[in-house]
Amino acid sequence: MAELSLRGLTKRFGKMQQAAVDNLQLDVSDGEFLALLGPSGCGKTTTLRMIAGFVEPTEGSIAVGGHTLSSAAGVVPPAERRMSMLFQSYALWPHMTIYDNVAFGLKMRRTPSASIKARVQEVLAAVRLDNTAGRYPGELSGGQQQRIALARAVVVQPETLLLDEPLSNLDASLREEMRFEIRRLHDQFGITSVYVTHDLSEAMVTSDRIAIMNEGRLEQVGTPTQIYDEPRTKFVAAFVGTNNVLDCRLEADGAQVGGLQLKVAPDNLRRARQDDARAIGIRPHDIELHSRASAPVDSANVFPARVRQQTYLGDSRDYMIDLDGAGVSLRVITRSDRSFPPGSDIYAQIRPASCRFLAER
Amino acid sequence: MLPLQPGLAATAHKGETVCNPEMHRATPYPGLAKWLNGTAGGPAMLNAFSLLRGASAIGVSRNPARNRAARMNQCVWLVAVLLLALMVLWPVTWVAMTSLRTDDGDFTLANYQRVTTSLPMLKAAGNSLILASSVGILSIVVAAPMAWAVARTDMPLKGLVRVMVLGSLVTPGFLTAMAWILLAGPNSGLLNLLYVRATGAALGPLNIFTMEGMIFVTFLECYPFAFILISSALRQISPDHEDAANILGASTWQTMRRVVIPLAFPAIVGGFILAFTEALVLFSAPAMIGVPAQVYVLTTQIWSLFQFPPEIGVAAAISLPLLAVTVILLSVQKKMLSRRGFATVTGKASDRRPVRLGKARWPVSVACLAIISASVGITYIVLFLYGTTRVWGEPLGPQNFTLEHFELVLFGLDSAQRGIVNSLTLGVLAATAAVLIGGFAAFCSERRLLPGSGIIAGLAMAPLVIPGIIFAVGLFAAYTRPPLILYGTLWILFLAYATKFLPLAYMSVSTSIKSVGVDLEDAGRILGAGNVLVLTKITAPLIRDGVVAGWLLVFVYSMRELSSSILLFTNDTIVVAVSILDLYDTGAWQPLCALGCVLLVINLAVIALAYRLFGLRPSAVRGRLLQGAH
Repeated sequence: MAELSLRGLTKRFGKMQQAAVDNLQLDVSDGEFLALLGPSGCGKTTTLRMIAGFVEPTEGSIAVGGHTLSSAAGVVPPAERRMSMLFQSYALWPHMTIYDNVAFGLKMRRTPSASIKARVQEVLAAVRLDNTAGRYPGELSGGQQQRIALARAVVVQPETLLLDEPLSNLDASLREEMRFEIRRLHDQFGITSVYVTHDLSEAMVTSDRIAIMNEGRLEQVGTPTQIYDEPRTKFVAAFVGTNNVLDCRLEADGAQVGGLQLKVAPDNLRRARQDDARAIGIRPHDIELHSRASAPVDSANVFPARVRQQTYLGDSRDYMIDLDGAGVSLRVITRSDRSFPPGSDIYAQIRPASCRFLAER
Repeated sequence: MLPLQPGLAATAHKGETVCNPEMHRATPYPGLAKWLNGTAGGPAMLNAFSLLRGASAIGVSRNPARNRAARMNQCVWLVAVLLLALMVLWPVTWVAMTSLRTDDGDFTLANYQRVTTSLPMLKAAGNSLILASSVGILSIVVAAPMAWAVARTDMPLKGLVRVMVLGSLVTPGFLTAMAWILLAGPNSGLLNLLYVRATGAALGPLNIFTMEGMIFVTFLECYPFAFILISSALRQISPDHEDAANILGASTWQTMRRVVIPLAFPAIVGGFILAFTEALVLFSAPAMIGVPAQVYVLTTQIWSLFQFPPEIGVAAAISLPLLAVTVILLSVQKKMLSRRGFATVTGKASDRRPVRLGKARWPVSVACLAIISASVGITYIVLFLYGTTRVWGEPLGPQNFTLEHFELVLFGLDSAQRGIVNSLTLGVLAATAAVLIGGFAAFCSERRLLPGSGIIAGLAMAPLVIPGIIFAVGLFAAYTRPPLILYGTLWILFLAYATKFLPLAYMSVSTSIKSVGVDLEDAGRILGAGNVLVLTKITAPLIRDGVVAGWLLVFVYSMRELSSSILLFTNDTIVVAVSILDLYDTGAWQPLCALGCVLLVINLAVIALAYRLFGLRPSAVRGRLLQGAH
């Protein structure tokens, strides 16, 4: 069983003892594909390198299958952790052939050479690069090199697979192809995987769960749907594209935002009281615009507003609107079939279910 | 193809001749054009006229200012190429010519015959080969592990080792040779004396005046080049390569063996070639140790042919093949190191995990420091001690301390005084000239100001592959006959130094200019600054470090130049290094040490001053020092 647990994992650097990773608590179940997602400098790569054993934690521990591998007391060397890693730079050794590259891990494990040959052929076939065995990495394209790196990582049957932004150096179309390859091989071999990336769509396509990090701390862990539909903090909301984050005050059946009363779904309200939320997030796609003539009078959360700015993007229109008398501006994205020119008066409708409360952290 | 205007083409197709209204603007007499347009043959005339003017645009721009600028560019390029060719290629041509002529000027192959058949010549060639190969092998055997320890482990005092290696590059080889002669000379060498006193034996075991002694001292001078090359290559290997091996199960040593060493292999071979080539063209150790030991190598053979009676033709006949060998070796080395596939710098430098040496940390550090002290520390200490002792052999102490040798050398010895003054003068002149010419060449080449700037760059860098002593042979041959007899003046030495060290200045300025993007200058131009203003206000301040570093390097190397000076000096134009050699020959070893100390102090003072004034960092100079003097 290769479930990975991080307990109170902390790493501090430098004289000022800045925490690059701060008290991380995370569990990855056996065979799960988890993404560590966040902007540059959030600590995701440091966390990955601690899991790999390249970096010693300052505090906390890392355990796989119940065995502690890293703690402040000591670290099991990377060679003995039964893990594999995929690097952003591929890290294929230029002086060895593809065969030698892929066979390296097996040689280190003293696998008999007949078995090595068979397994290398098998894994090269799995990544569809069977006829490259005699060539050198320099002769292959970036995408091919990354597939070889994947083969090399997977052929040793690791318990854990670590991926450090492996697709950043590839162009957009290759990236899409490789995302599916990685997921396919994960499913085929059922390896527990941790995938570091700064790209939301990459994380959404490949992962079972996403852990969003910011400034060394875990902001939210959940499935892609949970992260996208139910962001819990301001940071996560902004990260997944909920641009309208408004400070609010909780009231009996809703929230007060800058002088306006917002009706909110009761479940959201309950959770908001628990989290002591002070802000509301509304996705630009969740706001509907109506002309003054056709106001939806019976619905909740319909506010008069004026269009400040409109941008036509082909398949959508991007608006900035100001709610009348409330000092609140909202960004709205609608289909492009109807257009409200700048300066026109409209009604903006926000469905109660689309109002999500956000905690500070 | 004529640059036809579209309208003209259209009318041509139509078959009727209508004057293109666009062309009215082109003619200087619009009124005339309009009148002509109305006449029968007028349009045709106008079209033809415009066509001709268009045709002339291909050859010469209609803009007279641009013509002038282009012509001036071409002139400047021509002058630059001629100047560089004169400095660099002229002496080499003379070497070739002299080797094929008798003293009377007739064509002959006798010189080459002599070189290939006479026994002393062949022996010298054999000794050179033995010296160079031994030094090459010793260098990488010592430098590779040392470079690995400094670049890849958690050994303490790494910074100190690096600084001392740099120090050894600016310490003149003849002073190191002198220090080791004082230590390991057969009768009065300090180590031998200590051994005798300790064991009561009659004689000490060490004799520096042997082939082995010469190899040892030459090795001390040459291995730093291999060290710098290999340690820089090790730092270029991406940490990802080692991480990938580690996580797949390789231990630290397996990773070194299977990944790091193979990737560093081209640099190791490059280091061997560099040390081999340096040893091949070295003069100081073979002159001070080899000659007394009757072990001649090619460089000392060349020198001996300049003694009375001079046989310049034979010297040239040795020089040319030696030059060819140097050129080939250094081209091979350059090619090996330019295979970029092996140098892969990706991944952050901070990700590199040093190898833990555990208990071996301090022993390794001490070993490295001991090796480097053999050339740097020992030299300074021995020279200082010997130069400040009244009587050698008596116990050291305040009663045996004296400055009389310093007094003698600085105020009493004419030749030493002249040497210092000449060296300082030459240092300043050569440094300034090298920086001006090299800087100009670097500027042209980096900014592609002139077509064919590659030629200028090539000529500026060519002296790197020309051994100093061979250059001197050529200069001697070229400038000891009318119309330009520079021999006997400081100018021939100036030419030698300025040309020999031109590449140092060129590379220094070139690196600096590379780091100043053209955008910075263009930003100034688009805001209205002319070329001169851009140069003085934008470019010059930003390349100041490179210019100063270049000046310093040339100055330091000029102060201690030996292999060219030894053939070109006269009594009036003696330089410090030759003075020191003189003192050596006359056995005045204590004044020699004093003079050596003075030289070292001047060097260190100038470098320290520059660091203080300009805040240069050692790394700015280290790379340039790699292309050291030979």
